[in-house]
Amino acid sequence: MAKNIKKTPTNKPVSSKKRLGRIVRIVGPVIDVKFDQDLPEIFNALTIELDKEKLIAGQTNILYLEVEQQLNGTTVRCVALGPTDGLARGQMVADTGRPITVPIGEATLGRVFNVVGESIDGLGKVEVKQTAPIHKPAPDLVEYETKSEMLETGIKVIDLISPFSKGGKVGAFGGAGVGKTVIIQELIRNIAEEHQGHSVFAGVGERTREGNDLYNEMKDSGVLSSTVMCFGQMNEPPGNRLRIALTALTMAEYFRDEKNEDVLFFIDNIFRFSQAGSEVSALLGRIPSAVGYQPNLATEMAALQERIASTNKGSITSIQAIYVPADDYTDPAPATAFAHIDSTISLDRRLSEQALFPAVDPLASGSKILTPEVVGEEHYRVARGVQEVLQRYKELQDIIAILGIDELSDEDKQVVARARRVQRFLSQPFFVAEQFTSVPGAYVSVAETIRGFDEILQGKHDDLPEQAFYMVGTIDEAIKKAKTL
Amino acid sequence: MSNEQQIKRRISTAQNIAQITKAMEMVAASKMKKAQDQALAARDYSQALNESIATLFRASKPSHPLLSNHELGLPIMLVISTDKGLCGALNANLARELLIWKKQHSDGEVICVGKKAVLLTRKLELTVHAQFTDLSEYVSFQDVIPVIELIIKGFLEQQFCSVEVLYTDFINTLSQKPKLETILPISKNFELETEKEIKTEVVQLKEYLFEPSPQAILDQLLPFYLENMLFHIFLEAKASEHSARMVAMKNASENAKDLMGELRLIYNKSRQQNVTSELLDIISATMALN
Repeated sequence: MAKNIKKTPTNKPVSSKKRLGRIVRIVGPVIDVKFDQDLPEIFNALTIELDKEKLIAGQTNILYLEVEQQLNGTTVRCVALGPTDGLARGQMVADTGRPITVPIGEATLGRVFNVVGESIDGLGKVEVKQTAPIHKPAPDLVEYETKSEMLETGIKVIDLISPFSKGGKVGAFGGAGVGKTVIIQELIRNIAEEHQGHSVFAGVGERTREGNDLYNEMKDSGVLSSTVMCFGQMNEPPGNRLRIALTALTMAEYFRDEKNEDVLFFIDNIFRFSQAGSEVSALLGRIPSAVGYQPNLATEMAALQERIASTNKGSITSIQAIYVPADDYTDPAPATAFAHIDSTISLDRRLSEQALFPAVDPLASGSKILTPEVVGEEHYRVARGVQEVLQRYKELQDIIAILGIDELSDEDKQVVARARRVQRFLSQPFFVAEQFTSVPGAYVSVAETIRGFDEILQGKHDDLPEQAFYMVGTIDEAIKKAKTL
Repeated sequence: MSNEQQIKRRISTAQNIAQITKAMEMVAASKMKKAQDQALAARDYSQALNESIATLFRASKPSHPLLSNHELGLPIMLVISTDKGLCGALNANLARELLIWKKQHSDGEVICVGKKAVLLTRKLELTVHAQFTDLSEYVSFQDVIPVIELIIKGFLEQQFCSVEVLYTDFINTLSQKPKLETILPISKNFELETEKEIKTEVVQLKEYLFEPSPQAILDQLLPFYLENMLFHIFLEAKASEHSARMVAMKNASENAKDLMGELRLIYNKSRQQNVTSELLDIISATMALN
């Protein structure tokens, strides 16, 4: 794929001699365009000028298309990055001579963009000095940065079981309604608000309301001025949802490559990217592959994920929500994304049904950097200890279900009691969920997290009621809560 | 898929457990019948014996070493539990009562009947004074005698200041309750009873003639009374144990069946899902090729 991409220097003027073509076929978001002279290159942006009188409020009069295939000597097949309503065969299409190009630079901070780089926050046009194409090759092998350093999130279960690495990739996997977006928003609150640098948020195919909530929240907390937001939400055509992550990434790459910064990059939700790809794939005429996904699922995902990397210039720490259809982790879309992730946070429906929020499954989650060398001997020991106790509890659950807890040996009873305390202590009140839980949020430092779990594992708090550990921050808060029960 | 294999393994585990619990349920049911008959038959006899001693108390104010209170020695708890587990919450209930007793008698020691009582006592960090384990399935008078001899001897030699017994009272097949009773000094039981009776109804005291003497009768009757009381308690405990075990195993078998049902559903669903998705793949592939 990289071969197809022409390394277009930014700010290259659009060639004065425009290639013109005509629409010959329209199938939903997929449009075939016939050119008389030579064809536009793959991924080139084409534009259609729309009738100004027929525009919906807020819509610009330019519709962008992106070339995906060259069908024969005269025709290209394109994906529309906008609604194709009202288009007609024979309508004129112009080639811009380069891929979709979006504004980058300081001026993008505090603004909200759509897939083609137009501002959608109602604050007028963004005046920028620089623009960049959204298709670029991934950094070269020698440019990758390899050092590992832990990034504190203030969320107990994440810091303990799947610690984030600076410049790493984090995936929050989960089915519908188990709390992926809440976790992402809490992470934005905890990291982006503490973080000194810039962050970029990409809303891919999720609810528009959530994007609006986030925008207003960032505005109130003052982090908006250091944040770029890009939205291609679920009401938009598949082309927008397919390319919006690249738009956002292009803006993040500016801060990494030209400003040498450590950037935070949030994506909610990367599954919608694959889903959008699958939507256009059949219309582009490709044969569907496993479970009906596009045959180039892995390539498409890799082209995006490989660009989200930390280089010797700067780093991109990315945090991605990944929807798991029907809670099936073997589904090709989440399975493909899984391969690119350093720290996995796996959300479990059974935990959310027990109201144990965040519903992170400590046995299915993990991190590449959870080793004694990176996080330290103590952290590693406690994290594995917690997993061990919970694993044993899980194994005993069938026996408890059949024979009852009284038939367990004393050691196993103790394991069960501690596991239940650990399970409750893994829950934590969130700042962003305060309106739902009416419990003020808690930020817990890594040292406190480790101390708390270590003390529970050692049996120092066997006498406290289980309920005391539920929805608290530090272990001291649990002790305090026990006195009020 | 590995997940399906895991579910399959869990199903077979539940199946194996269900087989065992089903067998134990049937064994316990047959033993329960006999133990219940024994316990119920003994009730009338114990009742009559209690009454005759109560009468004796009212008629004369006897004095006997077994009736006297003294402060010397340790408080003793006789815990009657089971040798084997898998009898529901029976032993756990005893443990709860024992914990309460421990808080009141910090220097107390425990005489354990049944292996579970020994484990329990150790867990609560109490001292085991003596232990009687591996009693026969069907309680006989021989099982009781060494226990009661130890208790009487200890009390008379003023090693024990009081002896209480904790056992599971048999109410019916579905319900058994832990019960705490005082064995020694005996007067504690009867004083309360007699006082109550005198207050409520002015009992017409009949004139009794004692032959040869009240003292001689008491010497015989009191140890026998204790033996019989304990024997009866043993029977009740045994009946409770078998009932509890039968009910617990019955529940376990049912739980295992439920679990198997649930797992089977998950297994079938995921298998069917695989079949469906493969069919879909084949169909869409043929459609695309045509």
